[in-house]
Amino acid sequence: MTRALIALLVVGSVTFALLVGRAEPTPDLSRGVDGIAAWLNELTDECATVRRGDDFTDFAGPVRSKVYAPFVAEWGTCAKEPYGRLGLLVLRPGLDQAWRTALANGEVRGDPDLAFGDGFALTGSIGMEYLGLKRLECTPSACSLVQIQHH
Amino acid sequence: MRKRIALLAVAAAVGAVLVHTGGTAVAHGSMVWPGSRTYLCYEDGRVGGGGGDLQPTNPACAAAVAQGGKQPLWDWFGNLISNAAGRHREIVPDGSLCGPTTKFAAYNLPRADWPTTQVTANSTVTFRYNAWAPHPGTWEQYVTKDGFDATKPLKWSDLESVPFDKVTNPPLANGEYAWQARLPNKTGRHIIYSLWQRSDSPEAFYSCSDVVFGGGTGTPDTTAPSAPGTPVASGVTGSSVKLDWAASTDNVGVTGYRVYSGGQVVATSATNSVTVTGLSADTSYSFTVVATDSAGNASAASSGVAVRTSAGGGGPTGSCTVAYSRPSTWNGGFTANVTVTNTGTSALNAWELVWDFPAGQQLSQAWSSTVTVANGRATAKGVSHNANIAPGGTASFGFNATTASTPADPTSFTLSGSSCAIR
Repeated sequence: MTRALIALLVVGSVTFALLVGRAEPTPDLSRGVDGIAAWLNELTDECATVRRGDDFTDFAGPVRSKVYAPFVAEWGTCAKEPYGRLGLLVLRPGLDQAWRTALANGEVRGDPDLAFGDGFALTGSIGMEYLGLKRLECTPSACSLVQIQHH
Repeated sequence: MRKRIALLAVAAAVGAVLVHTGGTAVAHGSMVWPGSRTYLCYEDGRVGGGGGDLQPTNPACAAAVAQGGKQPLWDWFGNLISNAAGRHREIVPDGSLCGPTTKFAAYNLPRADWPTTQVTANSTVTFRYNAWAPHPGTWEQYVTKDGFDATKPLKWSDLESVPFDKVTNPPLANGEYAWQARLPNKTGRHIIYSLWQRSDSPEAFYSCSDVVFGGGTGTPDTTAPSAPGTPVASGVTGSSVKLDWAASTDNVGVTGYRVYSGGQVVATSATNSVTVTGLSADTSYSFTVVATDSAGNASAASSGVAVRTSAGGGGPTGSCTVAYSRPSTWNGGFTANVTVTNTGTSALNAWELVWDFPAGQQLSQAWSSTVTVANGRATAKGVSHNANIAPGGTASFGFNATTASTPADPTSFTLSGSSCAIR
């Protein structure tokens, strides 16, 4: 029994390592939100249809929109379990500085609630680690990207 | 390559099972009975939005959406602090207990009109907590002290000093943790405050369940209502259907019904009748109904009724939808983004999208499409990477134009001869 469990652990670990090692690097951001959706669809078979045209403030609320929106070049949502609407954001540089400023001004608390890739972000929190995304941890003086822990 | 994430999850789960301290399971959740503010507002929003968008009708939920947006409701199970590590009283300030992060701050609004759950004092009930994956942790349930005022910000000192219920690693089934607990001896309006501190991670989850305590006998109510009768459908349109069913019975009393389609709650009702809205035209659905009582007991599901909505009358009329937006407008010009979605069942090859292009506007640049303007109409064709649109797929393009006046958005689009719905 123990031997079987150890064997299963080895197989699982190797499989995991191989898959992580071959993880899709990044979306094709030259296609904007469609590039993010295509990347996500390729990885998960979900997010096939991108919904556009919604008001970002309606989605994120005025407090977070004030901080995020100036750095959102393009955005949309798609359905990806368990999210009926998962936000897909193409980002411009500077969001971290804006969050720190908002932190210092007492307008926000804690860390940005986005999962960050290179030049883009998703609004979800479940399973983001499997996509290679990172969290941004911020104080009023500094932000740092940290790998999302496998829970 | 597809399903890679599912494979990753499987591989991760293997590690979790064998190496307990590795803790690889993903966890998110919130109290669903008695329902947390985020969960009940999400359900209220789903019903108000007809199953599509979220449009809460409860005033407190609507106020929360106005303040915090709809995203917290799409993520109703994510009211968490990643690095709490049991330091709840240290890092969550008074007034922020129900929504300790900026994202969920609107759920701290001190109001008396949040959705409530009727409960019976001193009764034994089944707490249900949504979960997406099993993992170790401890839940503590606190109740507010006598004299609690829902119109004032909730403070730590408003809670009884010790939890009335505490459970570690409760059983998980059907995507929910469920355990029995004895409710405290309270009367009237209170908050049940639930803290879920994971033991394999510093992550913690927070939820406020607004409850109204009624008098109790002290006898636990563990009897579920009888199954509702099979729903009878009437008034079928392209987007809605009215359902009626024979009422359930319960030893204490039925408090409501949930209507399901495809495993999702599509409507709730306090009576044995409801109109389900937000349906797609010319589509088959199967509806079942579950009755609930004030102790959180849920009946068996009713038998299902199959309904096919009528063609048209609420759904898109063509096999395409178009989303048109102007992310930038300046004095003398604008940028437009257009996304075409194939809502049909066959591919749209070599598509051509046509719309009115008013005099006074001049196309200056287009990307991801070849756009030509002639005789007051613009015609866009796909380029190599998006010339064909698979069923359910999209093609997006954009253009810049100059204009002598305020630009007006197109009111109709035609794709390869068929009219498209605009969203």
